[in-house]
Formats: sequence, C-alpha cells, structure tokens
Amino acid sequence: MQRLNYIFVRLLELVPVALGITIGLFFLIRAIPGDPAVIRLGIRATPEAVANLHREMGLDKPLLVQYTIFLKDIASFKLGDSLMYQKPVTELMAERVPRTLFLALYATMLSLIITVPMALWAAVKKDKLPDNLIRGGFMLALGMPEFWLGVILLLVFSLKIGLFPVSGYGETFLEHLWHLALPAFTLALHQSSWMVRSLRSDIINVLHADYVDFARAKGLRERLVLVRHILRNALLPTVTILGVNIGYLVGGAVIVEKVFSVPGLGSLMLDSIFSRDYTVVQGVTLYFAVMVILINLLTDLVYSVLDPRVTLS
Amino acid sequence: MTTVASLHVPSKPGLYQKLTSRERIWYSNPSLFWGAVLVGLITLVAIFSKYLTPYDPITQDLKNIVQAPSAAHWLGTDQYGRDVFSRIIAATPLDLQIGILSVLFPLIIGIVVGTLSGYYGGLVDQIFMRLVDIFVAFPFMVLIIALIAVLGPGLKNVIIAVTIGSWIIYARIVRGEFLLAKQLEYVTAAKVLGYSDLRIMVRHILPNVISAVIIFGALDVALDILLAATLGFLGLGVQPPTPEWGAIVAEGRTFMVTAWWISFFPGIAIVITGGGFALLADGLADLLRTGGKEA
Amino acid sequence: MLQKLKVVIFVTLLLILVTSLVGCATPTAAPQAPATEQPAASATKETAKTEAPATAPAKKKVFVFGRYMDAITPDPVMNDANADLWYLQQYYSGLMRFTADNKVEPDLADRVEVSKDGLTWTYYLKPNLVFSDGTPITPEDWVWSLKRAADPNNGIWWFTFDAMKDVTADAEKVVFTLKEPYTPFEYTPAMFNAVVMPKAKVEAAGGWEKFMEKPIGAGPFILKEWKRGEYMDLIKNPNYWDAANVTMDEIMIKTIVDDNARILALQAGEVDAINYPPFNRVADLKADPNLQILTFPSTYTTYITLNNREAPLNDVRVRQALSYAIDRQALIDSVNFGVGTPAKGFRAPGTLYYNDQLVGWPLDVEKAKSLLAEAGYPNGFNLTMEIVTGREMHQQIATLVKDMWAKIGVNLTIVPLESGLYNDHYYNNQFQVHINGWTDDIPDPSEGVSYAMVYKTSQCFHTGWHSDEVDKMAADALKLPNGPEREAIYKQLQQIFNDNVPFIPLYHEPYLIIARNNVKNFVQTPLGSYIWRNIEVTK
Repeated sequence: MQRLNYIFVRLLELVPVALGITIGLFFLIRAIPGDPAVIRLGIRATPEAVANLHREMGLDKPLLVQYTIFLKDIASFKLGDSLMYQKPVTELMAERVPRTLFLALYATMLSLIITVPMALWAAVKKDKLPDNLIRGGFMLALGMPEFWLGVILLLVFSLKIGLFPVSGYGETFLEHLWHLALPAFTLALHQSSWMVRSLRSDIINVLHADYVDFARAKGLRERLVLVRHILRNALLPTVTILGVNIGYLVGGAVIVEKVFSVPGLGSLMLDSIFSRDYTVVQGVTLYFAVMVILINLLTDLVYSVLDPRVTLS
Repeated sequence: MTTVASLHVPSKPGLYQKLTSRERIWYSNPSLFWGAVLVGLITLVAIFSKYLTPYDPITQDLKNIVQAPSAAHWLGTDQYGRDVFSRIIAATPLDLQIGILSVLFPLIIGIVVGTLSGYYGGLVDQIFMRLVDIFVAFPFMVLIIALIAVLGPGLKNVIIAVTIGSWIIYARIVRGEFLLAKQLEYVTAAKVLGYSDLRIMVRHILPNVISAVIIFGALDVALDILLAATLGFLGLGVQPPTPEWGAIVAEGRTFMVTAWWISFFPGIAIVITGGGFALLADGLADLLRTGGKEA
Repeated sequence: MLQKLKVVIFVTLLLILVTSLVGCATPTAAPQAPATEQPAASATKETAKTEAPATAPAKKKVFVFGRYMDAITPDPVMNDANADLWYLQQYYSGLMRFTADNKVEPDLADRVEVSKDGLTWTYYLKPNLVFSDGTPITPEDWVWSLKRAADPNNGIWWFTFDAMKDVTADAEKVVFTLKEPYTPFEYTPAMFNAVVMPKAKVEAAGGWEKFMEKPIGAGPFILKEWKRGEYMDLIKNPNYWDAANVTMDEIMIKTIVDDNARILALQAGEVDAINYPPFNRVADLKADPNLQILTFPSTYTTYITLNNREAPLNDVRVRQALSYAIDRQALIDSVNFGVGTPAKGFRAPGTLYYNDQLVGWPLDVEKAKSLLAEAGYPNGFNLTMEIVTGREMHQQIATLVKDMWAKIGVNLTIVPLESGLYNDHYYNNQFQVHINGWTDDIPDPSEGVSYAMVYKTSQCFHTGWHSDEVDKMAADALKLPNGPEREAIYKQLQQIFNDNVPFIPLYHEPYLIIARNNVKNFVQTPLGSYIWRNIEVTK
C-alpha cells in the first residue's frame, strides 16, 4: 500500500516537471536566431515564399497565440505538426521510437553480458593481472569517443570483413539484431565501462561480508556462494546506473545514430534543432523528460523490491 | 570569559593526506599510477607543444595531400597536406584546456551552490532540488546544441555551454556531502561551541567534500574532452583551421576509406587523454575508499 | 534470481550467434538482382487499361538506388527540396515530360498547338487516360491540379504559372490562356508541379499531407510503400499509358545519409547505384572493376556572394580584383578532386543561350593588385566570410580562398556559423561574403537571370546589386519567342554580369552517379530529376 502511495506521488510530481521543461524549451528554441522557413528554402527564399511557408507552419500567428495552441495540444495529448514534414509529431515519433528503444534495450543487454562476467572476474582476482587489465581496459574504453569507435567498427567489420551490414534497420526481428549489432556494441562499451567499475567494487565489498563468510563456514561451494549471495546484493547499486543509462539511451543516442544511419529519435532530434523544427524538438524533449522520470521511478521501485531494507520516502 | 582552545576536530584522512603519506600507495594502485603517468605525459606535451611539432599545423601543402604515414610524415598528411602528427600535438593544449576549464567553472559554481543548499537546507534546498529534477530530465545534448546555436560555435562558447549544462551535477554532489556531514557529531559540537557557520563550512566540512568532487571532476575532464570532440565532430566546437582532436576526426571522415589515418590517430589521442583521466579518477576513488591497501 | 540472469545471458548470446550466422549466409539484405529475361508482352502500345502480363511469372526486375537524403514533403506543389522534386515524376505524370537533353516531349498529352499570338496553348490528350488505380483522369482533375500549382499561396513553384490567366479542360484537351506572351511556358507543363492528381482522392485522404504518403498518380510507377528515413518502394504501374516500355518491375529507393555507408552499400551490392558520392572517392572507386562512374551535365554552379551595399565591395573594381585573384582550377582540384570546370560567367555551359564568347576571369594576381590600387586600396583591406559549420565544401573553399586573397593584400577572416544562423544572415543581408550554389529548375535562362540579376526577385542573390536597364531587358526577353532577338538579349545580359560581377562564379560541376557495372540506361536530366523508365540491371 505504501508502495502504491509512493508511485502515485512520484507520478504526480512528473507533471509539473515535464511541463516546466517543455515550456522552458518552447521559449528557448524560439530564442535561437534562425527562421525555419528561411532555412528550409535556402537559396530559393523570397519574401512571398517565406510568407507562404509561415502560414503553412502556423508561424504567422503571434507568439502568445502559438503558445496557447501549444498548451491546448498538450492537454489533448497532441504535439502539433512538424514544421518540416507537415506530419503530426506523434506520428513521426511513433515511427522512430521503436527503433531507438530496440537499440537502447539491445545495447543494455549487450552491456550486461559484458559487464557481469568481467566485473566478477575482476573482483575475484582483485589486484592481480586480470583485474588490472580489465579495469585499465575499460577506463581506456571510456576515453573512446562514440563517433570514432563507430566509424572504425564500420570500416573494419562492415567493409573489410563484411560481417555486418552497413546501415539501416532491417525488416524482421533477426534482421534488426544483425543491423544494429555494431551500433549497439558501440553504446554498450561505454555503458559497460561505468557498470564494471561499480559492480566490481560492490562485489568486493560483499565478498567478505559476514553473511558470506557464514555461508562459507556452512560449507557452501565457493561458486554457489559467489553467485547466490554476492551477486544478488552487489547488483543493487548497479541497477541505479543501469536505470540512468537506459534513461539516456531512450532519448536517442544522437551520435551513434548519425554514424550508423539509424533512423531513430536521436537523429530526428538533431536534424530538428538544425532546421528549427520547433514542434518536433518540443515533442521529443517532452517524451524524453517523461521517460527519464518514469525510468527513475522504476529504478527506485526495483531497488526497493530487491532490497527489503530500503524504504521509499 | 573563558577561552576555549581551538577544537581539534577529527576528520577522515583526506585525499591530500593519503597522497602524501609514506605508504607506497602508488605501487599497489596501478590505476592511479598509470593514470598519473598518462595525464602527466599529456600535460608535458601540452606545455611544450610548440617545440614538438615538426611541421606548422596550419600551413597547407597542396602537393602532398593525403599521404600515408611515412618517415617524412609519421602519421601522414590530411587533405590540405598538413602533417597529422603536428596537428595532433598542436591540439593537445587546446583540448586539455577545454577539459579542465569545462570542469573548473562548474565545479566552482557547484561548490558554492551546493554548500549553501546542503548546509542551510530549507527553502533554498527545496528550490535547488526542483531545479535538479528539471535539469536531469532535460536532454543534455539538446541543451548544449541549443546553447551553442545561440552563442555561436568556438572554444569559449563550448566551455560556457558545458558549464551551464553541468554545474548542477557538482552542486548535487557537494550538497549530498554536506547533508551527510551536517549530521556528524563534530559538526554539532562545533556549533555548540559557537563557531561561525562559515568557519564550520570551510574548515571542517569542505575538505571532505573536496575529495568527492575531485574524483568526479577527474572523470568529468575525460567526459568533457569527449564532449568537445563530439561537438567538433558535429561542426559545433572549435572551428577549423584551429586543430582540435574531434574536429580533425570529423575532417577525416569523408576520407575514412582512402586515408584512414586522418581520423584514426586523433581518436587515439582522445583515448589516451580521456582514459588517462579516467584511470586517475578510478585510482583516486580507490585510494579514498581503502587507504591504498586492501581493507 | 541468478538462474534467470544466467538464462538471459545464455539466450542473448545464442541470439547473437545465430544472427551473425544468418548474416554471413545472406550478405545482402536487399532483393537479389533480377534475371535477364525481357518481358514477353507485345511491343505494340497497349491500351490504357491492361491486365496483368500474360507471361509466366519471371524473376522480378528490381533496381535499388541509394540516395543521401530522404524525401521530406513529396507533394508536387508544396515541396521545396531536391530530394522531393527529383523523384516525383516516377509516380506522377503530366501533359509533357523532359528528355535527357532538356527538351520536352508529350507524356499524357498527345500533341500541342500554340496560337499565333502565343496566348493560347492547347494540349490534346491521349485517349482513355487513367490513374494507377484504374480510375479515369477527369477534366476536373486537370483543372484542379493545375490551378493548385498556379496559386501564389501554395508553396514556391507557382511562378512557373505566373503568366497563366486561366486553364480549362474537357475530355479531349487542356487549354491554357496566358496574360501575355511568355516564351518559357513550353516547359511549364513538363515540370514536376504540373502533374495531374486525382482531386477526389486527395480530398478523401484528408489533404495533401496525408495523400503524399500513399499517393495515386499516373506515372510509370506506383509508390507502394514509404518508410520515412529508410526507403521508398516503387512498383511498376500497369495502367501507365507507356507501361509496355517500362523495363523495371520494382524500384527500391533507399536512404543512406552517411557517405561512407552509402559507398559501402554500393560495393557490397546492397544497392545498384548511388548519388552524391564524395569527390575524393572517385579515383579509388574508378579502379573498382565492379563499378562505373556516370557523370551527367548539370547547371550546378558554386559562387562567392558579395554584399555590394557597402565599401569596399560596392566598387566594381574591387569585385573584379577579388575574382581575378582566385585560382579556380586549384579549387576544383582540391575540393572536387578535379571534377568540374572553371566558371567563365554565371550561367553554365550547355544551357540555352549560353554566351561562349565570355572570357571569364583567368587567374591574374598582378591585374587584381592593380585593380585594387586603382580603386584606392593599394594595401588591401579586411573582409569577413561566413561559412556553415561542418560543411566540408565551405570549409575547403574558404581555406583556399583565404590563401589566394592574402596574395593581393585582402585579409579574410573566416567565421563559421550554424546553418540556421547562416541562412538567416543571408536572407536579411547581414553578411559581407558568403558561399552559395545554384541549379536551374527550368531549362530556360529566365529563372537563373531572374534570381541573379533582377532586383525584385531576391535582390540579385542578396548582393543588393541593382540595374533598371537589366530589369527591363529581362522582362522583355520573357515575352520574345525563342530566336535571334531573344538570344542576343540573354547573351548581352551575361556580358553585363561579367562586367559588374556582383557575385563571383567559381566553377560548375556535373551530377555524379556511381553505379554497378550491370546498370544500363541510367539517366539524370540537367534539371536533376531521374528518368528510370528504361533502366536495365543485367545479370
């Protein structure tokens, strides 16, 4: 019951925060110099053409009127029409969100596969060579810019070896896995670097805790001890990091999407800022804010479920 | 009137104590060691960069474009005939500057705000926490790109944009430390004895706070160098022909297949620098937790 | 809990393994290249309504094209990007169409008659015309589509119908009446905005924004599916009047934004041809035995825009000096790796009434210096050039030109701007020096002249240059029929341009397409649109 209360209060808090963000963004992005109609027309911009486009885009109305329309739209769960594509923003996002989510989850899965064994190994062999190599390796990996790593992977694995396709998204589930393998790995590497650090140190902390020694004393095999008692407790703080990372990823990994030509939310966001597509930027930002808050909530809940000692304030 | 001798406040051994202790912490902490080595190396290169460039990094040599690495040009030339090695070396002080300044300014602002918020609590703290919520949920890249679009690209504006985007994280760390410290006995004791707030904050609590912040800051330097490089890659960072690692990678992107060295080697420089700072941060964190040896 | 974790890890590893194996087995995700069988249908023109071909189902003939940018608003009237207008006439048709060499020929029309006074243009229609879904094209459809295109409140292409007073249609013909004689009108019905659309269907779909995603037209193909950001899938339109001569069954247009990725796809055989390859790849791709380099003449010209409104750029001698100081061939060699020709004027060679007597500005640093001295700047001056951040071509030109102008004492500061801001400055005339490019949208010189030299259109590319005499000459030339008198005016206008050089033309470059060797009959018209009716992809 207490948990339900907690969820309710947190969800309620979501509304003013999300609204605050979107309203702030409404004015911020319009403050950036640059007229979307002029940008779109480029060399073909004439005063008549620009006026026509303004009318199409709804930009011929005074700012406060635009703002009221915007608020009304949000109230009815609409996000307006894209200035560039003349399509409802919700439709544009609906096309892109699944791809970005797929990539986000795929990357997270890969990062878990990389992180858990590596962290375990490093913790168990603390301060010996495997530990140092793993820690050092991942720290260096943190220094690898995504755009650079992505381009190199593309070059080696797509061109030279031909193991993965060059771009795009594929049709079936299996094809998605295949097309997105390289971008997901690029993302996963950074995520793993964060998580290995944290997981390893938590495992180390737990490795010699009282209850673990007790289990050993009872005669439990080391591996079972490791797995049943240690891992479970050590995973907890890592869950938080995982949550933060997923939150970041669902906003669309802008750079990776650009390098690998994945038509997801991140590249939509990037393009929309440059073309001053106000409605799309507003819509995607609102979505991102809501997702981050929801995922934080979820993370806290998972944490409280895993560790009964944690109480939700 | 009674005078009280200055209260000796016990505090946890801070970073400074540990680093200067006689314990051979360096050898049992390879992250710290290697991190320091790499960072030291990069810093030296940055300081002496002018003397380390065999060619002028900006002069074009259109007869020698896109040459592969050779004895004459150790890392090859780019599409304007400029020596890649020289450009990478010349970019070092710039990227290092970006990394450090992008951490220094948010750090200072963050310490001030976080201290006020954490120590005094109340309304100030409430407002601050609301701000944190909003900033955290705001897509970071959008904020940075929007700010740069307003301010214009270039070194100075990148630092300003990153400062605006990241000060709150430092504030949050500082605040957290203050909340913790506030409850400790020695602080209560100091208050009872009538020490001014400012004195308590600065002399007793801040040193512990600094450790936490420095560790995060070292890592953040790495992240900010990456961010600057990414912005350079998007065309929003330092502008050509000024060499900057990310911008050089971007310049070489169209040549990935025919002249891979243009994009590859600056990436290595980023990895060494970013990785070095990350190792340093990792080592410092380890040091603080265990005192350099296994507990 | 750990059991679950182990299972998850194991399953995911297995999935990755399986997909890699699947991936290795089928290296291309695109449909396979088609067989060489020719359609067994008769060579005679079929009637408009056809049944499915009577031959046994042959292997589908598919052409896969990789382009660098997806369509944005592919509506014939409301679009404004090349990525839209170059592809519209795959599935829309109008009265006329362009040929590979910029002439017009009948498409849905049969023949045209022009009245003696040039004010009435009658297009006789072919019999029994239908849309791709079999419904007849009605006179109402024609009138609605053309009036929509001509409406000055719609989009930016209405100016091609500027001279039109009215349009009417009946079952046999479409008739235009003009306000005054307008020579370029012969091109108007061949343009992408003059295609016929089914009025009732557009309205039933809820407006052109919805209709453009599942359109119905009368072109050689049908847009079967459009996945934004990924691909457009076109299939042959069996109801096209000339379906017998359309060689492909299906065209897949894939969007691959990244240059390297696009080339990789071509090399891997995932696509059959690509556009906009980076110039620096031409040499090594030429050496690839599986690929061919196709160049098509275009009108694309790059130039440096100068704001003539203030000193020192308000002095024609200064502008001439800046132009003479530029080594255009060096620009072409560095930026385009040799692909292109130096510009001698603002019009591209091969266009109608191109003045081939023009000398242009061959590199002459001494002359430039003396011109500057004459104008009162013997020691040069400072200039600021704005470029778009991240745009490689801008950066390269700016860097090279800075060097070139330094030789005559002009100190150029390069200011990169984000593209939105750059456009803003251009539109509001808040710049000194910019870099721009231009392509003709119609084969007639009037459009190019209008933008470049007629003040009211766009202040002469925002240079602010103005000549009443030129305005009048251009207006007169619009009315004259094609012939020596018209030619003389346009040639003279080009000379006047070169004498005044309000902006500095740098070089022209062709369209570059890289295709696999088995692709034949790929055509890109000088206006940019692709003609894919007769493409062949042999085994």
